[in-house]
Amino acid sequence: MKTLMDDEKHQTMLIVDDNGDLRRLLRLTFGYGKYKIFEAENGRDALNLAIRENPDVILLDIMMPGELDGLQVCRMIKASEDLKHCCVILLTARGQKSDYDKGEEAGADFYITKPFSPVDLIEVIESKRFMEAP
Amino acid sequence: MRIIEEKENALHTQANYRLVEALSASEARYRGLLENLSEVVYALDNRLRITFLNRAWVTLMGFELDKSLGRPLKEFIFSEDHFKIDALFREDKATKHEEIRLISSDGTAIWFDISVRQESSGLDSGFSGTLININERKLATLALKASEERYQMVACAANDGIWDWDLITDKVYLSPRWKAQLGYDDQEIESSFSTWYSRVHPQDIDEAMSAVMDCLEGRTPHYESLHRLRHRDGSYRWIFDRGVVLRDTAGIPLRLAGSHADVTLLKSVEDALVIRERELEAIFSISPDGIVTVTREGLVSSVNPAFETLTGLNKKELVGIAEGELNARLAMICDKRFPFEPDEPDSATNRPGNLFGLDSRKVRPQLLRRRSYGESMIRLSRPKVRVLKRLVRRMQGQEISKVMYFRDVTIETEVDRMKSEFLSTAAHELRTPMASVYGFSELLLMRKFSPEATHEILQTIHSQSSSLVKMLNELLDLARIEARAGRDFVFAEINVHELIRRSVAGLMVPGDARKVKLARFKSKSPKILGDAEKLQQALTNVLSNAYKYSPHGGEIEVRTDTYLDVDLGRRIAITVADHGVGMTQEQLSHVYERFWRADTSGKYPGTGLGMSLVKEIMDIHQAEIEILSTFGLGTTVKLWFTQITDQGETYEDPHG
Repeated sequence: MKTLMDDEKHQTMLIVDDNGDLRRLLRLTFGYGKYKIFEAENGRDALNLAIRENPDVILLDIMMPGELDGLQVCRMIKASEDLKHCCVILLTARGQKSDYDKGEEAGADFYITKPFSPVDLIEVIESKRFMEAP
Repeated sequence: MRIIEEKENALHTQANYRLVEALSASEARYRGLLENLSEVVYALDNRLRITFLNRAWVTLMGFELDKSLGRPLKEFIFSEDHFKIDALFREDKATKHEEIRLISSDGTAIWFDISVRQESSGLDSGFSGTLININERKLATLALKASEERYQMVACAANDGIWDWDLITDKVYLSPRWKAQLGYDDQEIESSFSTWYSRVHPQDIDEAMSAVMDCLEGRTPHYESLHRLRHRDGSYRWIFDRGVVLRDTAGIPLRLAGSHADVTLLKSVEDALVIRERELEAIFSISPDGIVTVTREGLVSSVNPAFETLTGLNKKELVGIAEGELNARLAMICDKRFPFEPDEPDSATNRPGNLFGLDSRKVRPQLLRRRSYGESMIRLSRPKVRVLKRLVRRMQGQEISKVMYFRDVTIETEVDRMKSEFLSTAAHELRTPMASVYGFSELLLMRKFSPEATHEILQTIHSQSSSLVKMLNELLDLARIEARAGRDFVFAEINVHELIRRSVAGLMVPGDARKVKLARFKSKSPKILGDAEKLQQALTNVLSNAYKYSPHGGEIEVRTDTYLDVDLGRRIAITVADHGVGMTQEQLSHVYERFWRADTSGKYPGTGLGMSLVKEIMDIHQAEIEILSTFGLGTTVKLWFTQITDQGETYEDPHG
């Protein structure tokens, strides 16, 4: 696993959340040198950054101010030929079954409810990467 | 009775000659009289051969006198009545009567009343008498008898009472059964018209009598009346009274006869049905629920006004159409995202369900099984956006096989939606700070950080925890105020200036050196009625918002405003004005919504519950909140109360 991770240096991650504390938490969680991290506060910025940076992982909040919410951003990314390979992880405080179903319907790879364990989140993402490695 | 002397007898002796002459003169006078009589006068010898007839015979019978004299009377009598004649002439009473038929010259039978007197004055005995034409009367009587028999056969049930009113003699016959229906034995009440008339219910008598008159005067072929008769026990019985009238050939009514049927039970059942039907009709028409009934044949049989209102469909266009057609019309006014599904619930699992406007292939089937048996939801887009709950009730083997109820559950659905939205929002709002607390503390445990970084992380955890505590407290406050509806509020006279001073002093904003600019209260403090603690909480929330949303400084002013309201008396407002970020009109419209935040970036800490709480507290004080805000310029909040005077009155004369 370690060797694979070494091979995959300079992966990019996009953190999207309107709450500054949460963004800080995520940056701290994944700040162990493997990821080049970008942040966005709303859906519109997130989409622009995704197009520009073509990130490997997107941590995406659902409820955000502005015209685009996380689900819409997710749908657009998964509908794009250039971006659909991105691993989209919905990180949300909405924990109801119907919310989960909406996430699934939007094409997200993972759906994780807040509060979450940073350690578990790392594991989810790294195992995802690992399994997809050739 | 006139006596005819036989000439032969009288001529026996010469001595009698004078007498005979006198008699002849007398006989001539008699003959003159006889010839003008309308009735037949006859004389027979002892072998019943006709010896004399007057002219009336010719008139009535059509036979010439010379062809009739000398022949036996029997030859002219209808053969069926011969036995009567035999009996009549055998008996030896002085005068006798019998009704017989004679056959006239044209062959028709005519009824006569024959009277007979035996002559025994001479040696040669014989008979004399009269024949009176009774044909008309006799035929009428026979007709009555026939119609009476017919009537009894047709109209009288075993329990019917019989009555018979002879209109000529005014005699009335009432059968024992007739009387028994009213609780009397046969002898206890007389058979008379007044026995009936006096017992008819006062409300019914006019109608009953006019039915009698209509029949007697020929306006109706039969007599028929439904009226109440007073029973011996004082109660009234419903009687169905029917009768026929008998008339003579001139059309004059002779008799009226008929029967009484006691229909009290039927009538009470019918009345109960009518009342029930009226009740049901009233329920049907005032019901706020739409009701549609469908016949066994699957046709719409009735539609109530509520259904018309709810759907905008017209009763006239619906009654008589097939149920499928009704469903099609409902489908047309349905919200396209939630198509109307008239299928019965037991077939619901096979529906191509599209309840949530999602692609059904990806949605789990259990989510679609929302409705319980017999219920379904219809979402209308026309004539108004409405949610109707449709309940179907089937009835086996009835004329009406299906009743459908349509209940307007638009408001309930909206309340449900708001409730679940509130819960999920509350959960969401609690989860966000919790994510920071949980995540940062885990990182602290798992990794090593510099003392500076550790301190910073702990500070975040602390501030998020305190935000959680604040939110929980406010949620509980809201829930308590709502549930108690102010019952735990302690109302007392409050000194407004004192309230403001305490609120301002209690407000601690860490790191903010700003002071609230208090207006200088020159006059004596006005007083209001309220719960001091709760009002301080409300005012603190307003003040804390003023601080929070004027991050770049600027004065925060607290003052009182008053004005005199014609109805409410002197009004006083505690006014808090800031020069902060302000709100747009759109933002302002959400200000009392729970968890709603004008700022969602997290730049301004808060729970989104502060103003909801202020609103609840003010509502219980029956006081109003006035908010004036301009985006980028600041916000002014006024809490309006009704001032009380020192005398405890709520009105103060401004000139007093």
